[in-house]
Formats: sequence, C-alpha cells, structure tokens
Amino acid sequence: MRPVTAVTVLYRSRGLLEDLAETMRALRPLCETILVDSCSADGTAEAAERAMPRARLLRAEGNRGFGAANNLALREVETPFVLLLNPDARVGLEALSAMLAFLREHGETAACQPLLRLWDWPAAAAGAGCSMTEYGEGYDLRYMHYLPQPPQVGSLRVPGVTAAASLWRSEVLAGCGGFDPAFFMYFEDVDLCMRAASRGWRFHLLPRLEGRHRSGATSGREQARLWELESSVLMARRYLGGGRLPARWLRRELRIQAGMLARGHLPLRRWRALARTRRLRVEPVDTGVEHRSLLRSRPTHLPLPRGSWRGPLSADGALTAGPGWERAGGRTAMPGQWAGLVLPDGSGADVGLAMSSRASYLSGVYGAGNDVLGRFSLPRGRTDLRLRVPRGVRRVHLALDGTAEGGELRLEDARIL
Amino acid sequence: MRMLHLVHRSWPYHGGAERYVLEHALASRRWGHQSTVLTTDAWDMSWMVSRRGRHLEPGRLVHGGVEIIRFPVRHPPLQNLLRGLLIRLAPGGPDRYCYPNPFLPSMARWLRRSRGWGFVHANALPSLLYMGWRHARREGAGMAAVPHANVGEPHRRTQAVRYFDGAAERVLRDSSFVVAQSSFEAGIYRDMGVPDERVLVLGSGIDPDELRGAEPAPEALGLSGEVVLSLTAHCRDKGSVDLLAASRELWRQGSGHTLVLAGPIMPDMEEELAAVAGELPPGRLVVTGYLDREDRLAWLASCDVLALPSRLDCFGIVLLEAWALGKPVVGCYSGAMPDLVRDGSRGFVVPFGDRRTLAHRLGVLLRSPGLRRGMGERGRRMVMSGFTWRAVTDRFYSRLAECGQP
Repeated sequence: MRPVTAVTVLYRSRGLLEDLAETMRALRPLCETILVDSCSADGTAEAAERAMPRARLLRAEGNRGFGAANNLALREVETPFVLLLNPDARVGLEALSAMLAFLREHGETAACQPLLRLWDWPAAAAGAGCSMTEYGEGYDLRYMHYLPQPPQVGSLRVPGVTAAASLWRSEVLAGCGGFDPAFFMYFEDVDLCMRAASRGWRFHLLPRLEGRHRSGATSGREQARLWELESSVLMARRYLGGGRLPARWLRRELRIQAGMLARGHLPLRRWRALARTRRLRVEPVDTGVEHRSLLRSRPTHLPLPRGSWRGPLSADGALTAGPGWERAGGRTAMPGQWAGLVLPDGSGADVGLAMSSRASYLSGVYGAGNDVLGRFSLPRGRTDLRLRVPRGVRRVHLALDGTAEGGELRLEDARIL
Repeated sequence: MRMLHLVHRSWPYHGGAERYVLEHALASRRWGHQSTVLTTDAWDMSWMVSRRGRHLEPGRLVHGGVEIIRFPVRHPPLQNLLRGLLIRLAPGGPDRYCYPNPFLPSMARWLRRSRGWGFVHANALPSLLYMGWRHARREGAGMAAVPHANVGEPHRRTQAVRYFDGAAERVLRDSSFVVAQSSFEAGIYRDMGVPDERVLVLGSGIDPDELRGAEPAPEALGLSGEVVLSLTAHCRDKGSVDLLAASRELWRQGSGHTLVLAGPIMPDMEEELAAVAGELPPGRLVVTGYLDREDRLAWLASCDVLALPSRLDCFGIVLLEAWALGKPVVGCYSGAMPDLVRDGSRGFVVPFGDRRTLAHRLGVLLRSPGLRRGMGERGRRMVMSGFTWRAVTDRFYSRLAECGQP
C-alpha cells in the first residue's frame, strides 16, 4: 500500500486538469489519489475521470465549500499520510518523498509544506507557511515576495501550513475532526492548524523543497473578499474574542464601511455576509500561552504587495502586465517589491520602460525565471530603463532590492524598442 | 523570579538593542525566571515623536514563551511644545523628572497597576529607563539599566556625557548594575558616579546556528565584482554619507566594486542620495531598504567587506555576524569598535568622517583577497570564542544572581 493519499477538491477546474493529471502521474509511486468534485456544472467531474482514470472520484451533493469537500475525502483515507493539494498547485515526487521522510523523522510535527512559488514566476514566493493577523485573517507568509534564493535552512517552524500543498498525518486530521465546514472558503487551513497546535502539534516549512501554485486561479477577487470577510469573522470570534467579535475588529469594520459610504458605495454585500455569520454558533477556543505564539504579527502598515491588475502595459498592447501591478485612476503602479511583464513572443527584444519614483534612490534587478538578466537604478523623478531581453524569454520580472519606501513606483510608459 | 524587560521596540523588529533584549528575555527561562517584555507599537523611530512612520498593532503576543506587550505611542497635539514645557515646569527639576519621550500613558498605567516583579531590565530610551527605575523603586525590585548609549567617539566625550541629561544620571547611579557595551561606555558611567563594581561590560552576541549554511549567492542578487556592504539605518552619523563618498572616489579610480546600502534610509541620507544619484555609475549602488532576518543573511554571505564607519553604534552586532561568516570589517573609532576590530587585525578602524582614509582602507581590502580572508578568519575565531548570545546572556544572569535583591 502506498503511504500517502493525495486529496484534491475540484470546482469548475477543467482548465487545470491537464497539469493536475501530470502532477498526479509523477506522484503515483507514493500516492493514491482521491478527487472530490463540488458539483461543478461544467463537466469537470467527467473530464477528471477521463484525465485521471486511476483516481477515485467522489461527487459532492452540492458546493458546500472547500473544507466540507475535503472532509468527504478525508473520511475515505486509509493511509497514514495525506497530501492536501489544490488543483492549481504542483509538488514533485522528490519533494513529496523528502516531506514524508521529514514527518517520519519528526514525530511532533503534524504537517509540513515546501516553499511554494508562483507557477509562471518562480523567482517570487506564493507561500512559505501561513499565519493569522490580529484581525483574524489568515495569510501566506512571504506571499508575493521576491525570493530568488530560498532561506538556507533545512526546516523552519511556522505557525501553520497552507492547504494548497502540504503533507499531513492522517491521525492529526482525524483527531481534529478535519476542516470546519462553517468556513466556505479561505482561512480554513489556518483554523485547522490552530486547532492542531492547541493539541501540541507543530508545523514546519521545508524551504529547500519547492512547489508551484497559481495564485487566485479558483475565484474572482471580489467574491474572494466576501469569503475572506466571513472567514475572518469566524476566526476572530473563535480565537480573539472569546466567541464574540473583538472591539478592535468591529472598529475596523466600521471604518471600512464608513469609507465605502463616503465614496458612495452601499456596503450591502458586506452586510449580507456579516448577517450570514451571525447565525453561526462559534465556540471559543482557549488559546493558552503556547497557542498564542501562533499569532505571528504582520506589520500592518507595511506595504502589502497584492497587485492584481493584468491588462496591457504598452499602448499597442504588445506588452502585458504580469502579477504585481496596480491600476487606479489611469495610473499604473508597482506597489510591492516586484512585478512581471509578458512579451508577445520569445524572439528577443529591447523593452523600454519609463518609471518614476518619489524615493530618493531605488535599485533593482530584472530577470527571467530565477536568473538575473541585469541591474537598474532609479533616482528620484522619471528614468528611462532599457531592458535587454534575450531570445527564448517571454516572461520578465522587475524586482527592487528592497520595498519602495518613500512612495510608489509608477510606470509612465512601456514599449518594445 | 518574574522579570520585566522594557525596550522601545521588540520582536518582530530586528535591530541591535531589540535583539539584545529579546535574547535576554528568552534566556531567562534557562535561569528559572519568567519574562515579560513591555514595548511600544513603533516600527520606525519617527513614530515615537510624530505621526510619520510605520507602526504595528498594539496588543499582547507570546514569542518563544516570552510575553510581549505592545503599548501604543500617543501623539497629543503640540507634543513638542508640551515636552518642552514639561522639561521646564515639572516639579523636582531636571534631576528628578524625566520628560515622557515617547508618550506612553497606557504603559505608565499598566506599570502603576502591576505588582510582583522581582527584577526590572530597562533598556535604551531615557524615558523607559526612568519608568523602569520608578517601578523598581516602588516594588523594591532590582534593576539593570542598559542605556545602549550611542556615546560617540572618545575625543568627543563631552557630547557623550550630555546624552545622560536630567534624571538618567540618577537612574544609572541607583540601579543594581549598569550594563555597558564597551570599555569606553563603561568609563563614562564610572565618571558619572556609578561605582566600578556596578558596571558590567557585556557586549552583544550572535546565534551561530542562524548563520550556519549561509552561502554566498551574488548571482541570485544580481551582484558583480567585489561587494562592500553597509547594513545599518543609513544616515550621516552612521557614516553612510562618508561611505558613499569613499566609494565614489574608488569608482573614479577604476574600482569595479558594488556598494550595497542595506537597511532603512533616514531623511538626511535620502537627501544625499537624491543629490548624487545622477552622478553614480549605473548598477554599482544597491539600496535595499529594511531587510528581515532571512534576507540579511543572504546579503551578508554575498559581501566581501562589511563597512560600518559609524559614530552612533554603541556596539554593532552586524560586525559579529560578518566575522562569523568570515568577512573583514571597516569600522570607526567609536563605541566598542576599536576594542573589537583592533585596527589591522580583524579589519580596519578609521576616524569618523575621514573619507580619504576610509577609501584607502576599502581599496586595500578590495584589492587583497588574502588579506580579507585572514582578517575574516581572525574575526570568526574571536566571535566563536565568546560573543554568542548564550555566552552573553549567561554573563548577564550570573551577574544578576550575584547582586540578588538590592
């Protein structure tokens, strides 16, 4: 019998099945596979049966959310280890086997995960463990950080691991009762980790192992915000407010809603989402001293690079924005540490970018994959950059050596020279 | 025993004094004590005195078994005027009163209500030393004062003594013991009337495990040629302006090195950078901003020389980190650096502001890989022989055990 069962939840994931089948084929020597289809209406289940005939497919009766769908599969697991894997994530056989060896060697560790990198932009991290903010929001550590070189350690203790790609002990999942189905989507993995940690289990990141993850492939941003809101209510009530919403959380929500009203938006969808969570009964979890150490604080006023605009960068549309750009009021800016450019083909070209910055001096690199192609410097004001992109490269990233302290970095003009 | 540590910033912020306090709080468990760290919500120092700058959420958290309580810095209207008035009008005169800088009313309230602390370990800001001293006196607890005083250069002793205005001098004299980071700093405390036996020259340390496995990766960082790294908060008094000028001189002479300014850039250095940015050779200056611990390691491992020509650092943990990785350093005749570096042995020491000498010493090191290796190795041996956090905290707690209750 194979030691691991890979559990993957599908929902309207037809476009991802080809890559998923390839991932599962590679993991076959160690893994059984259970797929759960959350009642997709687009024929995902049938396509999955064709693409992965050896996998066991469970059909949920309705779309009850990510955690509930996972629980269906977890009931069927008979192996000592479970690989939770999103359809848009990939882990190689070598990484899985190293994770397995790590869990076998470290009896106190409930689960571990590799360093996840963005699928098409491997110089940037998609997650290195996860944690919770003081408002009850889960987040991926090092998300969207430029990280060409992983930390030089074998394992790092982290507050939690992501459900996108992590290897768990089946006994831990069974002991905790699996995911809490009250969470429809988002932060359910952080909740599970906190419950497991309160029983004395630990979590580790293995930074020398790598996986890939397509960020935001499963949901649109607008809907995701509402699911995140509902989940943060549950987390805050359970871990931070003794069953009720803490005053700090309420103050912030009031500020957000007042801001929306001031801009002329009625926060009807937020009210509906909050009303839904009021009906749920949440038992507070006594966090205890060691448990509280899970709350790894994130400096809330540091820039959080979550750019998501991916439109055309140049006037003729030849250059397209990758992750890391934000567009508002006709201005295109790079709010975080890095951003990507997609060229029309791999025939090699010189790309001209006019950037402007209010910081006194910024420096950075441009590169492809994990390779650095060149360096640039940006004094205050407007600077014209010329990036020499060699043949065979379509995706180029710009990465600052640090964050743009002293003001955002704006893109004034972009063209292929 | 229950110990109270007071410091202006704490974990997750990674700085010299902050790390020093956290390591002592973590080590207290080994000695059978229970520690709580009281700190502020500031991330940038500018948040202490103005609404500019970044800050964290106030609140409680536990890190490594140590409770850390972050109190919000308040910014009342006209706060600078208010401070000025308080200094002049507060009863008792300057010897009895320490003006609140930063304003931390919630920390003061917490201290008034809190009981049962056996020892207070107060660090860095004079106002925190004062709050710790008042609490220790009321509770009848022991107190270690650790001013982390940026005492400047030995020949500017008058300025160094001025650092301890008002009640700070009295706080030091009344403490169970005072921790100095260098023999120069210790000399100042003795001159201020602190008895010799109550001054402990301690220094700082590193955790060798954190640096284990660090490998140079200049290609991944896009670096070419030799790399001079300066890892500090960059401003004029930290010598960053001089370092940039010395590098420009070397570039003019044909040197192909890259200068990396890692760490936050302070306003005066920003002005300097903006003024000279157009004249710099492209790609030879790298400005990284604040680095977290993991990123620091990558840059440190990838440099050839570490430069810290600063007159503001009372110790300079980054020197120890560089030596632990076998890198030579260029420091300044200030704080603990002359004692640690010993000019020509583990690196070079230059007078603060002497750009020509700084350029010359950097040039010598950049041209001589053998000299770099030798100096780095001598530094590494010194660090491993007594400048680890375990050794430093053991010295502190041994001293604490000797002094007992005052």
